Amino acid sequence: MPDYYFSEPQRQSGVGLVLIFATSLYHIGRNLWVLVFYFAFKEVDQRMLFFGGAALMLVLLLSLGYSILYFLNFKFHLDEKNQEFVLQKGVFSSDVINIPFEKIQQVNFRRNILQRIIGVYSVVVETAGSQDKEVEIKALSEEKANLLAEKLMARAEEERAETSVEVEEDPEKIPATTAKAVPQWEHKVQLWTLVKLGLTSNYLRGVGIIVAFYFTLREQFMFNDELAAQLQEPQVYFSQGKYLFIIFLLLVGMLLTVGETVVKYFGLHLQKYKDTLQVEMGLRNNTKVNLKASRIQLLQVLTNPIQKKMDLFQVKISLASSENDLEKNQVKIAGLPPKVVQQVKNYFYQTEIRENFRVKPSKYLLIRRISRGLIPLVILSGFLFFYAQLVMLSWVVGIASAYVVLLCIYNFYYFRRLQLGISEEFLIRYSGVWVQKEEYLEVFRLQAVSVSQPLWYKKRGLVNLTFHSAGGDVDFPMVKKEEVQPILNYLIYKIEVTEKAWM
Amino acid sequence: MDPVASSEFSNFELEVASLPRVEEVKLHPISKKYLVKLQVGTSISFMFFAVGLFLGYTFLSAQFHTYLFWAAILLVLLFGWSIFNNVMYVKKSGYALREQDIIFKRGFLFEKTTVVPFNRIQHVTVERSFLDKILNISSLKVFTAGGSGSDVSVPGIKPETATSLKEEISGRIYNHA
Repeated sequence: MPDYYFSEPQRQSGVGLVLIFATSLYHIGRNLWVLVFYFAFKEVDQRMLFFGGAALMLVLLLSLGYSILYFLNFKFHLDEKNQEFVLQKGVFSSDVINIPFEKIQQVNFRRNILQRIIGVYSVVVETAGSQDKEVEIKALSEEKANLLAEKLMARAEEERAETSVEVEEDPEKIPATTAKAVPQWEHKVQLWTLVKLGLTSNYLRGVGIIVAFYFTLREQFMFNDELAAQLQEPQVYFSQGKYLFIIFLLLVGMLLTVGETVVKYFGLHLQKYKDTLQVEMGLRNNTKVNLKASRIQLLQVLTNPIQKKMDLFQVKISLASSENDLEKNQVKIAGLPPKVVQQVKNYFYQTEIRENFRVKPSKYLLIRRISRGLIPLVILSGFLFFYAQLVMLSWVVGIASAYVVLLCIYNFYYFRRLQLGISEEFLIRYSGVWVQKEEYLEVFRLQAVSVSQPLWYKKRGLVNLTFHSAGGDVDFPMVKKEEVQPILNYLIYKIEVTEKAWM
Repeated sequence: MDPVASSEFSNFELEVASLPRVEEVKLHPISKKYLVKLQVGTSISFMFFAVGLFLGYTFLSAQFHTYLFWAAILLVLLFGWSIFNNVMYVKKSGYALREQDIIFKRGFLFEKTTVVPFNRIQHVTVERSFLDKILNISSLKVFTAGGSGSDVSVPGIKPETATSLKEEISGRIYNHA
């Protein structure tokens, strides 16, 4: 009879041992594969082979022993008396990690390929405000994982409700067996949608991956001079057909981008339950995240004109994070039609967002951006003054004027898009020329407000605004001080009068 | 519970004009002793460059001397600017506590004012560096959940004032928690 209250220290599922062993083998393999390569290319005599084999056996045995000890020493339980989650681990040293229930932010599931094969889940407990940002229990059966997650979230919720002034409504909830009922709504993103998404994304990422891959590969092979020499050769071919090479690179970049998108968002499945939005996705690393409306700090909706036509929107959700790596604590969901985006927003924000007015940046922003864009041109013409005989002037004039036209068009749209919507409860920042972004920030989630003013803005009475939230900052440049000061006073007033817990 | 926070408060047209105004708050200046600290720091870092230049002058051949001359002029200009900037920084910086928040304004070339409501403060500390102890000043640090951007560190406050400010703020945080 399993312990459904997790009150006693307990180990992971037995198959967890397989996982730990396989993971350690994987790490060994990853660190030693260059060595293996080296042996494969060298002439090896019998003595070498024997010692090599013996060493390998030793390494395997040691890592097996390590894995067993690791498995045996890895225990977790819920300490009801001290109101905390306790995890003990360590082979040579022994670590005890205590997480008070109220510090628990999120409990998520994660599965890599191996975990899926042996049928276990990782349970990841995320906390706020400590260096050990997350704690992972790598091998639990589905049933146990679900149960543990539910328990932890329920306890966390209870703890918080006790400490915060405003008790969350509906007191009839949290009978631990709310179990996974039927979702109120759900949305699945099809494979074809993901392919479309990949095709309409930025290929430069894909190209970047190739370049990074090439460099790591080269670094790994530099141990061996012969191989390095062999690798040098292909470059000669490429330099003969530069344009072909660039097209090739773009094609591969495109394929990689599509591949990356598919792998990342494979099987994306949104399920809305009574008090949580469950997001499941990923091919290589399958994650399942439970998002609670009360935790969402910042919401972004992104799209580009092509994707907009195809009803593909991306939603980025920022949760409270302790450190400055705000990017990390973000959940990205892509390929959603506007209807689902609206549903997600409705869940997070119950109230309808009605903008009262919009703040627009001063026209000096446009002037400044264009004049900054002209700086390279000025430098270039400075060079031309000295080296004028080297290039055709007509070419330079042509390219330069095309650049200026593009610069003006781009910045004009940048300037026109950049707006700050203000409603009673929300700040909404609109931005982006190609990738169009809408950021939603609830006023009561604001942590602080900053106004900055470089000396040279003073004459024109302009300021830059920064709204600090626990999910990241929202900046807005160059606005008239006298225009925004009442708004800021209002926002500060709003923060100060709410007793709603921001987290 | 605050009545305004509940359903009663929901008209955006509330007299925005009658709300307390951040811009009208009179700020407390920060101590002139902090200026001494800044100037000492600046002087020390420029001393290193000066020593470097001097060593270059004695050990490098004469052909570099013109470069060194220009570098020295640049250094003097930069030093002068930094000294001036420090003076203006201290002159322009200031803080104020209101009933519900702390306001901190700092900077000369880039002036920045941050307002942190007490009900968003995670914790408050008072810190003193070595120089602070000699000069008998301390800094009041206010931490929020909004990352380093919204954390506020007010330098150059008398230790007694800093401690009482800290107590005052802590008390007000607890009222909200």
